[in-house]
Amino acid sequence: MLRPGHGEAVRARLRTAADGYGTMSVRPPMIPRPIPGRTSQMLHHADTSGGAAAIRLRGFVKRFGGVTAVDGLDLDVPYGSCVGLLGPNGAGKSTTMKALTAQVIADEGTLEVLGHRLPGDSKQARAAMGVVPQLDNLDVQLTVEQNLLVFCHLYRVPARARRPAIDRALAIANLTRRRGARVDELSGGMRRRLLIARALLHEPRLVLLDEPTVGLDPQVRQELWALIDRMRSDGVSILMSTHYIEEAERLCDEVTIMSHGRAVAVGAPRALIAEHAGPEAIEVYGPPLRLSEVEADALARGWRTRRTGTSVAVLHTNGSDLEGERRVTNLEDVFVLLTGEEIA
Amino acid sequence: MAAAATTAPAPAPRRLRRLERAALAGVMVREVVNYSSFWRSSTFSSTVDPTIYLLAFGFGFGSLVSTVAGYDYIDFVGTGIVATTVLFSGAFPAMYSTFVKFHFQHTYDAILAAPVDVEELVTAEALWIAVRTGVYGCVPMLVAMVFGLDPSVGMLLVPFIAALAGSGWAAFGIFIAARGKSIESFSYWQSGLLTPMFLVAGTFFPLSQLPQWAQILGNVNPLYHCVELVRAAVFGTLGWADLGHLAFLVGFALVSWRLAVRFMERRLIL
Repeated sequence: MLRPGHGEAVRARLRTAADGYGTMSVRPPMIPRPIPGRTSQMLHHADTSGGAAAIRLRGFVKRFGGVTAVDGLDLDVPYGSCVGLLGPNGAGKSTTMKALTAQVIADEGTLEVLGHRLPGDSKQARAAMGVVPQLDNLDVQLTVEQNLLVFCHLYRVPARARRPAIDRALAIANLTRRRGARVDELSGGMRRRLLIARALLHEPRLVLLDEPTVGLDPQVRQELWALIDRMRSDGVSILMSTHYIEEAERLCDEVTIMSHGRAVAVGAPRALIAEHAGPEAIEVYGPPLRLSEVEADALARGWRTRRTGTSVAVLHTNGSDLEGERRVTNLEDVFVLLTGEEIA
Repeated sequence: MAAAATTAPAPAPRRLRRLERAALAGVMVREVVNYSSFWRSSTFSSTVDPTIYLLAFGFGFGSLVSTVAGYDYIDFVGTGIVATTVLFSGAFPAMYSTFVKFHFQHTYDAILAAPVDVEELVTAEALWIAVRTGVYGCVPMLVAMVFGLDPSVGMLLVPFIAALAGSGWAAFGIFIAARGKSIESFSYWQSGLLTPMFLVAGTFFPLSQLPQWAQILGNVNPLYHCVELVRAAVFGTLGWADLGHLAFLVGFALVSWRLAVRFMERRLIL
């Protein structure tokens, strides 16, 4: 049941992969596991009908009173790709996410989701997208299955398709055995997985994930990464906001780094790292006085530095013999260099 | 198979309209499923409260007064309490549960991220509460029957009258919630507006006993129009004048509904 455009979307994904992280693997390869009986159904979501990109924002501005939360943001999420919105708290990520469901109305700019212009046609767009919110808004007194049933109705899943839709979503989120459990009996990780299952009931073409792993322990975070990666493999377009750098590096084809409501850099994680941080960083540890010396020395030699608590990371040293611990550069280096802010 | 399928156009998605029945049903399903977890406590208070009123007024006050406005006092007060029950089980759950749902549980964030508009959300919530008040409103009448209220065919209209008035109160309660800064602020509405309405509604004593200014206030009080309609239905005295009461309740429901939608939009859409 392949739909038109699917092949092109997959090729586009492969191109992005080759450009971005094909040769230098920041992202450990995750082999998508086929999901029995659903792969072919889900593939059509990668089609490119109805607009050039799943999400297209141009000059999006949102003000709250005197505060400008988002200040002229351009953002593209090509069909079938996973794009990350990266930035510290207050950068405007959540406001952007809310604007995509028309829960925030733009003061300026054009917003298109799945080819529908917002806010006028937002309802049409919402029918084909799933949203995983930052705040847990499950009905805690209801069972896992009841929560999903309610959203089958809200997403207009036809009566006969509800049961299979719930079964499938439970299988994806690995919650089949907990279907009868009340939500307030579930662990934090399970609740987060249930939020994802809820967003996938109607087989959306686009999924918005707002800080999907915030507040979870590392093991649970990795479970969720696998789940998100599986969605990507199924061709679902994804926009996720996060302030976890590693999450963006692992999962996203492209990231938009936001600071004070603006995009300060856009590109594939590896390309951004290569462009802004160079191949390696030298981490120098020592007492504060020593760190200040290193910084002054680096400044004099035209190198970039960033303080990371007990150390100074020196970048763009071009193979200098500066003593310190050598490590591969990462998106966090890029972020700090571009914005002067620590992210988390 | 795959080759043939690639040439098939994707089915055009159905155009979603305003006030879609599926959206209303979806929101109501959520309420119904949730209600299954708290119906006992809700039904308990909706049944016990009017019974206590009936006992207190019917037996307490009723021992001093045998008839009021031509009715046995227990009949008079039994029908009057239908209207106060509608107010209680309409406005209060709407105020509190709406506020809790958008402020603490973020339920509306989840619903509005699905293809549901604020108008549909508010309408469905008010309709569901209206259904409940339609049922709960009959409880005091049934209790009064135990104490001697004679059954009549017109009583079959009471659930509909209760549901109509209940939809207005529910929408009004949602409007109050949309304006509320905190749950504590509801006491101003409760003590400043809703409770005084009792005094000028003809629930426990006839409006004609009150000074003229109070009678004028009574005429703009939905509670009064609900009481009058319920009495006319139960005692079989429905006439053309009751169309006025009906029209008032319809108008009240419509105005409250639009206010609720408008202020909830302001609250939920930033």
